[in-house]
Amino acid sequence: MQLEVKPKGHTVFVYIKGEIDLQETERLRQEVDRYIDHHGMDHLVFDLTQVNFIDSSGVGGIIGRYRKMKDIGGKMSIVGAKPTVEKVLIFSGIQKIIPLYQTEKDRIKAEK
Amino acid sequence: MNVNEKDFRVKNQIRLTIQSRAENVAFVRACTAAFASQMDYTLEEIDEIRLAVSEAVSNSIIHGYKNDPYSQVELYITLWENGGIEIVVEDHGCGIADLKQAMEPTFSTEPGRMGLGFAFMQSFMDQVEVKSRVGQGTTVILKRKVRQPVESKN
Ligand SMILES: Nc1ncnc2c1ncn2[C@@H]1O[C@H](COP(=O)(O)OP(=O)(O)O)[C@@H](O)[C@H]1O
Ligand SMILES: [Mg+2]
Repeated sequence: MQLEVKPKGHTVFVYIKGEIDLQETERLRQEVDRYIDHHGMDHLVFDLTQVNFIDSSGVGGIIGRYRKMKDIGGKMSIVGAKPTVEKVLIFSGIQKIIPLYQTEKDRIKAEK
Repeated sequence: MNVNEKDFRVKNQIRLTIQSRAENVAFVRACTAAFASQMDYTLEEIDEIRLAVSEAVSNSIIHGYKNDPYSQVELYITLWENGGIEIVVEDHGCGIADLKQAMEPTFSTEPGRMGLGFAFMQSFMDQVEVKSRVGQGTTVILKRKVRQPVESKN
């Protein structure tokens, strides 16, 4: 998994590439939490465009970051999940608490 | 040999033993996907098989062995002549006291986990069998048939 954290204004984008499983979730947790703790932010966006696998450990990791954002009064969105990844996210019920968007354009339009 | 006997013939089989380390789960997934590709599965089906095996092996590592990296998870993967895959994931870890409860969606003994591993295995495979004994370990058997190609209606 490759991970890139990029702030744009008060929104922070996390670009993930590869697979989000047990091993990678731990890294995701550490790197994103460190960023949140040091910089704070209003809005966290996970860009999953280049993710080709996620399992329940990965979903748990994403929900953990959502809880952290909620604790500091921020919000979170997910962008670009491919059908195989989206299927797992929807099965988990994650869309009930974190909005899912096909593209970044869709997100901007919906969250304006 | 009659048709029935032929159906239950092994087409191919591999056995894999891994140290119980989180970094090995990706290897098991890749290995399982490559092996399953010898059958006529669609890419979507392969993805679902990858997910199920990932859940079972992760469980052995985290729950069965409590993240002790020097234990071993064993896998036996069989491709059947009649068009199916069987994946046996076995650990000799702590075992599960209440299987019924463990398999309920959203039940987890670990804070911060989803409790959806068994639910994923059950929805993405045709059959999931779990045998477990406290203090002895857990065996998960995952089965998935190759779907017959759908006839196109003209
Ligand atoms: N191989 C195993 N050894 C011991 N306990 C297990 C094993 N697999 C699953 N369990 C138990 O079953 C519970 C549910 O598993 P699962 O549905 O995968 O959810 P999760 O992994 O998120 O806890 C686990 O929390 C654990 O208590
Ligand atoms: Mg699990």
